[in-house]
Amino acid sequence: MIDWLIEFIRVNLDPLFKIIIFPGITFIMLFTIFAVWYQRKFLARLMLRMGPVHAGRVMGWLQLIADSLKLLTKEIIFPAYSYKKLFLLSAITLPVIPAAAIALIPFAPGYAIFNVKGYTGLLFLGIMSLYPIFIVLMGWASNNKFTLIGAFRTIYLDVAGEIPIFLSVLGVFIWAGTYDLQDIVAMQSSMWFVIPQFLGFIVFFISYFAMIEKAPMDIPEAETELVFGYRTEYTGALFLDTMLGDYINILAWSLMMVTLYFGGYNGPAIFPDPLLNGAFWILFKLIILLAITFTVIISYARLRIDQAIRLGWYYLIPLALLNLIITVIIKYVVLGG
Amino acid sequence: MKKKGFISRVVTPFVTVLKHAAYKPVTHKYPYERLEGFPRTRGRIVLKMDECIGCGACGYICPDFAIMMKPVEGKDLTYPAIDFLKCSFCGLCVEICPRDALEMQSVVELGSSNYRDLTYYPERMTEPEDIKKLLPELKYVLTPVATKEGMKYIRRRV
Repeated sequence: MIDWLIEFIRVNLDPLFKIIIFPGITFIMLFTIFAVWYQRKFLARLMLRMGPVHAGRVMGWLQLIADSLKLLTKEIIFPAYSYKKLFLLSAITLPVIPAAAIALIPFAPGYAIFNVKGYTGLLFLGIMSLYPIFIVLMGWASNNKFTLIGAFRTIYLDVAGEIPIFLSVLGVFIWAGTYDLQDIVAMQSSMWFVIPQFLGFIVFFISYFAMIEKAPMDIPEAETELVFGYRTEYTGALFLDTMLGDYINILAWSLMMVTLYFGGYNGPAIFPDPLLNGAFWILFKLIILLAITFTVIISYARLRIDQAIRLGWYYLIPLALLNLIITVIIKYVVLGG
Repeated sequence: MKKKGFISRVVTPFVTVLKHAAYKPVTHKYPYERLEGFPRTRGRIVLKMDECIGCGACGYICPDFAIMMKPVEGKDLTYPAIDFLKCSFCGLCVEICPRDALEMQSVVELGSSNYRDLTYYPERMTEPEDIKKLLPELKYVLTPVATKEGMKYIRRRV
């Protein structure tokens, strides 16, 4: 038995390292904890507060671990008339979807968990479009008014945000002439796609807030209007699981934005190892992007549901289509393919 | 009402918020840092027993009936005892005292798990509160400073 295991690990060392350590489970979990801590500290600084300070002495770094331990030791309560299997399974599956999408993102030349050439960009969008379905399942399985309203508002927001974000990504695919994320990153070594695709980037950036469900478009769990949206009935470890899904979703979309518009792993060579260099640059860009995201989160008031749909259908979709037309004209008429 | 433009609706909030990242937080780490009370803070009341003539004017004027005159062993007079559960820190007793025997400290940390501890008898009233004993974790005592910027901010608000 143990010989088989050692042999298995020796043969599959490379994929196992990718799946378990970087950029797999360990990295995603650690980055999620870091992102929550970073959000709390950064938002506190922008509000002239301090954020967590007590746990762990140095900038409250143990606070998140203490919070997760607290949630893990709490009882999981199933509502009396809920669909218990669906209630449990949909919450467990939620963080898996964005984590599966992260497997397609290249972290160094030829270094991704699902390391294939081809339609990886389309596959990413396909996987990420499953995410709201599980939110709707969660809201429906709880059998509660508030969760169901939260779930329906997710559908509304999805209508407003998913179409423009896909159309803007299509602009990048046309400009690059490929669906492959690794090729797209490799093409950006001379110029980031944010410059030729600036209009598309604007559309992507606004729709991004609809996809990660944060303010100014945190409509599904509008804290002052609904109780806690679709996760009102979740307690203890299951609640932690849904929060994990939320932050992995942010991580996946931010990584996609870095990959498509900000050159992914490209950057000046600081470390001799290409993997270390690529990981450093992608994380560096990610942290700056998250800082901008958190600044936007506290700068603006929440849009009403009709305002969000109006923004999506009246402004973002026409802008994305205009971006497509401009991209096609520049690429095939001005530059001649 | 005039509709605001793109810049004042979208750009200005973002820049205003982002500027705050470079500012110093206005909050303090309370058990480790404590802002020293302002000079005329109405806090815990201290009795100077040598000055007191036991006239009972403080007990008479107290609007909350928090002051009771109590005898002290070895003294002929009665002295004020204050129940800080009832006290509203209005400062009338300090004002009315003919010999200025009562005065207010800037210490406001008077919480206790037992409500009987909050009745301060004359012997305890004479000892000023030690902040080091109340907050053993205290490292820095900060002095409140009214800066020019802060005054401008207050004027603009008011």
